[in-house]
Amino acid sequence: MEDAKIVQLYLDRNEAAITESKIKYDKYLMKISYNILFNNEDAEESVNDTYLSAWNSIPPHKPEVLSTFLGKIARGHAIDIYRRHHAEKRIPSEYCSSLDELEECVPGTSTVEDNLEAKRLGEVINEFLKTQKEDARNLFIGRYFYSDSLKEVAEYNGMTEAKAKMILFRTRQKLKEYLEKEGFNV
Amino acid sequence: MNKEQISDALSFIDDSMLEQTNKLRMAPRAKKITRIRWTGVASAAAAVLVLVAGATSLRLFSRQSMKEAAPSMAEQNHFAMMAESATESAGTLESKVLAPIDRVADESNGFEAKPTSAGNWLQETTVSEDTSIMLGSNINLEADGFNGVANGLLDKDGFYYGNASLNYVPEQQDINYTVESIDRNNVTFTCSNNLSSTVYTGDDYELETNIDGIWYTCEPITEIGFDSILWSVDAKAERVFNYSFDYAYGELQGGKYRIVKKFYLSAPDPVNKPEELLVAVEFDIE
Repeated sequence: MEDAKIVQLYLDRNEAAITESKIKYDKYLMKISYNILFNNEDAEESVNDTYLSAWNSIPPHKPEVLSTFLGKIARGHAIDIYRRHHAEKRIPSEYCSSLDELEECVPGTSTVEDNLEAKRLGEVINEFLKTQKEDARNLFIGRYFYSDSLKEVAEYNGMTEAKAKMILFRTRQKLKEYLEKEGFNV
Repeated sequence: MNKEQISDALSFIDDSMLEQTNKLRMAPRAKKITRIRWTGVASAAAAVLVLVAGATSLRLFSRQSMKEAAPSMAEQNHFAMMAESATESAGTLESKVLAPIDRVADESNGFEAKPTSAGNWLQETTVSEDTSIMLGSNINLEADGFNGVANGLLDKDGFYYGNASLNYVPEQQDINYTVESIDRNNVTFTCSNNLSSTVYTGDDYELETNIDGIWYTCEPITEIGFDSILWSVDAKAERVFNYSFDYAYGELQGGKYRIVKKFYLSAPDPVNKPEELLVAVEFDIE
C-alpha cells in the first residue's frame, strides 16, 4: 500500500494503519532497531513502541515519507532501550561501535555546564552533510543514523570496505572542523 | 558535547537525505563477491621470480637485475599453465604468485584489493564470480590514492597471477612528503600531516624503483630489520624523516624511486586495529 494511503488510515483512526505499516515496514524497522540493540526481543519491543508512537502522533503529524518518519521514531526508541540496558552491560551492537567512531567528531572536551540543543546541533550537521559529496553523505548516514555495519555501507555504496572506511574517516574529520568553526564547545 | 549528543542530533537530518540513503540500502545487490585469502606474497614472490627467470639472484640489488627478473608475457603464459597443473597437484597457490605485485581495485570488474608496494601489507583479494581476466588483458585499477594497470590471469579458483603497477595519486593530500635532500645513500623528507588528528608511523618502509613505467619492489642486498619505534606527526604539523640506504640497498643507481610508508590514523594498540594509510613519495637519483 502506498504511504499516502497508510497515512490516511492513521488520520482516519483506522487500526488497519498499524497492520499496513507492519506489512510494509516491519523488516526495515527491525533492522534499524537490531543494529542498535543486537537483540531480537529488544528490537521487537522497540518496533512495537514505534507503531504505538506513530498512532499517537498521526495526527497531528502528516508525514510525506512514512519510512523516514517511522525510521526516526524506531531509532529513538531503540536508543532509549539501549541506554537503559547499557548502564548494566556493554551491548556489542553496530550502534555501539559507530558511537565510538563518532567520538572523533567531538570538538574539545565537554563540560558539565553544556546545555546543548540537539535541534541546533542537528541543523548544523544537516548543513554540513549538504556540503558533502553524495557518497560521503550516504556512507555517513548509513553508518551513523542507520547504524549499518561498515561492510554493509560499503556494499550498498558500491565500494570496498577500505575505501568506505577512509571516506568515513575523512568525513568525521571534516565534521569535527565544521563543528569547531560553528562554535561548538572548542 | 559528547558522542551521544551527536548521535541524537542525527534525528534531525532532513528526510530527503535519509530517503536517498535508504533507497540505496533497500536496492537489490547486483554483485556477488567472493573473498579469496592470499598470503605469504613477499617471500612467495621472490621464490617465483627464481622459478620463472631461472637462477636470477636477487640478493645483489640492481635496477638492471630487477628488469631482467620481471617475467615477460611469454613467461607469464608459460608460468600460468605450469601453475594450473601445479595447483591441481599441490592444492595451494601461495607460492605461485608473480612479482612485482601491486594489487588494486577495479570496481567495474569486481576485482578489488588494497594498494601495497609489494604485497607485504595486503593479504586479501576479492573478486566477483563473473570476473574473467585473461592473460594479456589490461585492467584499469584504482584504490584509495593509487591507480594503475594490471596485466595478469585470474584462474578458476580465483587466484591472481600477474603484475601490476600502481601510481600514487592521492585524492586528497592527507599526508604530504617534501624532499629536502637526496644523494645516492640518503634521502631526507619533511612529512606534513594535513589531518586534524595525530598520525603514527614506524621506521619501516618499502623502496621501489620505476623501470619503463612499472614500479618494482627493490630487494635488499642483505637481511634487514627495523627498530620497533613509533613516530608521531601531530595534527597540522610536520616532522623530518631521513632514510639511509647504505646497509639495505647499497648506493642507489641513477633512476626513479619511491618510498612507500604506512601510516596509522590512531595509536596502534593490541585490541583495536587502527586505520591505515599508505603514502608514497617519489624521488630521482641522478
